[in-house]
Amino acid sequence: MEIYLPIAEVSVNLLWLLLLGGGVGFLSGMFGVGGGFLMTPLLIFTGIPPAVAVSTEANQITASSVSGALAHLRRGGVDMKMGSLLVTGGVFGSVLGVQIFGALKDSGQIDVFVSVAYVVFLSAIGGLMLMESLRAMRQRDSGQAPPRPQRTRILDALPLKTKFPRSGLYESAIPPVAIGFLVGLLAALMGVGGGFIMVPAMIYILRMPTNVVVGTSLFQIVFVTAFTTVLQAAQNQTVDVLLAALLIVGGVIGAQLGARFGQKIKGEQLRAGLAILVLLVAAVLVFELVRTPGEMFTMMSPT
Amino acid sequence: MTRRAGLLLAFAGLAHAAAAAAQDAEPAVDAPSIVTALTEEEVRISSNFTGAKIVLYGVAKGLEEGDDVVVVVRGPVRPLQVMRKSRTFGIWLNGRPARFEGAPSYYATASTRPLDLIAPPNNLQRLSIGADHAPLRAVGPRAAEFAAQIAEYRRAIVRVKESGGLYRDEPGGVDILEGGLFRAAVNVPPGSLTGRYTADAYLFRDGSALAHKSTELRVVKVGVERAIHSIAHDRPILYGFAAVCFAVVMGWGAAQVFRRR
Repeated sequence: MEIYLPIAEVSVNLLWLLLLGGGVGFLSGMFGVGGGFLMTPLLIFTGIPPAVAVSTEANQITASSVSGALAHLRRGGVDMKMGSLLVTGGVFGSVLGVQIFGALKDSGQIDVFVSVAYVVFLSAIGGLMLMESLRAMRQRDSGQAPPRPQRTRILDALPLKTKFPRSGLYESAIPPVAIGFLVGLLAALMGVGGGFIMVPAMIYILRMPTNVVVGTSLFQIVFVTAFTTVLQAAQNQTVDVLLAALLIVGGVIGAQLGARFGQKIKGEQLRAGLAILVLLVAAVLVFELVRTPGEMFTMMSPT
Repeated sequence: MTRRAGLLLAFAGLAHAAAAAAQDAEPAVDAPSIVTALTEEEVRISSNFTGAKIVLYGVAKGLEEGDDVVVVVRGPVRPLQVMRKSRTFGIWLNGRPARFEGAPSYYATASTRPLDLIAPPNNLQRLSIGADHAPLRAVGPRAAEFAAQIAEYRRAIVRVKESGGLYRDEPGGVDILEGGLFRAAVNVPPGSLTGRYTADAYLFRDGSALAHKSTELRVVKVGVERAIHSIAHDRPILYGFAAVCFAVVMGWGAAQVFRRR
């Protein structure tokens, strides 16, 4: 059954959208990742205009992160002070990102930009995940403990130091704002939550205790993706709520099933599998970018 | 409206118009004339829209052997930005956009024979019949540069639009039935812009148009599609907040449902 999407202005198979939402939701439930970095390119392959795919994904990520954020909040797993700084940075990053996004859309470069950005990110994430899971597999076999993260000394020299009671830290407020800024930029430009960057950054750069990392990251993602959605809607009119609704419905169901399934399965093999999937998506994007196009012209109606 | 009812109405309108035309044409008995009617005058884009097919019926009074009928449907005119791809560092990038005005967003011709057999190019161009004859012109800061390549850009626009089904040329798309009655199918694909369309029918004899009749067609979004689209463009901030509220309620609600089980 085909459904006409009012903002994307294309007709897409309804069942395929639900399956897409469910499948990506399943993976994100299993691995605890947001899934935006997979969903956006898959939507583009489906024929959704890239500008609409990116903006609508921001809206979907709000939905898929909100229940997790609330659960962590109830459990006290959110460092509110750190979270607020991350959100503050995220808001500025999002504002800048939406401006750049609009300029690229008006000049007709947004499609290529989104593809190139995804190739870079997916290759990096997929490559790192693959190395990480291979190393974990080897270490489990040889029984070694993973190496401890090194303390970064440069960040201790930054000014504006403040106390973070929930994390038990006393450090500069600049790094969290900067990290939040980068994540906000990515949310607007690529339609990702940014958890895959924020979580490692919180552990290795901010040195936050692991029990508040995921909650605080989700807290930031909910606010920044919500803010980005409003901004994209206001400035670029590229948020398709019907598309978002279908992806959300598929996504929440898939995520619940994925979370249950993930508890029964060995982590490293799965992680390696996800890494290969991510690299595969990047490879398809590269192919599309370098392949000589059948039609040398593209066109759009300026708004 | 059902298709059958639409057809009946179209015929009723046709009969009425034909009668009126007959009266009007009383003094000059031999002057050919055309009346037309559409099976539907409104194409409604709703959530299950996968394209619409409507039929234009017409009567060509004074139709003689060897005459031709041409039906042209034109969509609203919108400025276009056309980009030529070029290879940079192995990647195909969009070049700087050329801006054009005057190209209809939708353009369909149906005729009894190929257009070039019906009339000389000048006559077709004067009536802007045929996608090649749309009054396209380059605008913007680099207009002069692109105006020089306008033929190439025009071909590209026609080609890209044709691949999306928004431009179509169907020689043989007009069926002549008995007694000067003729019909042509009009296909409106998804991706057609909303707005006023015109359906023009021309009667050609010896390369020139003897009679012409224009009918209006509206393409509108209805129901949820219309509501979403108009709020998104008229109240964008409200739309953004509504999208966020919806996402929060859905995400949170779904988790509650699953937790209880």
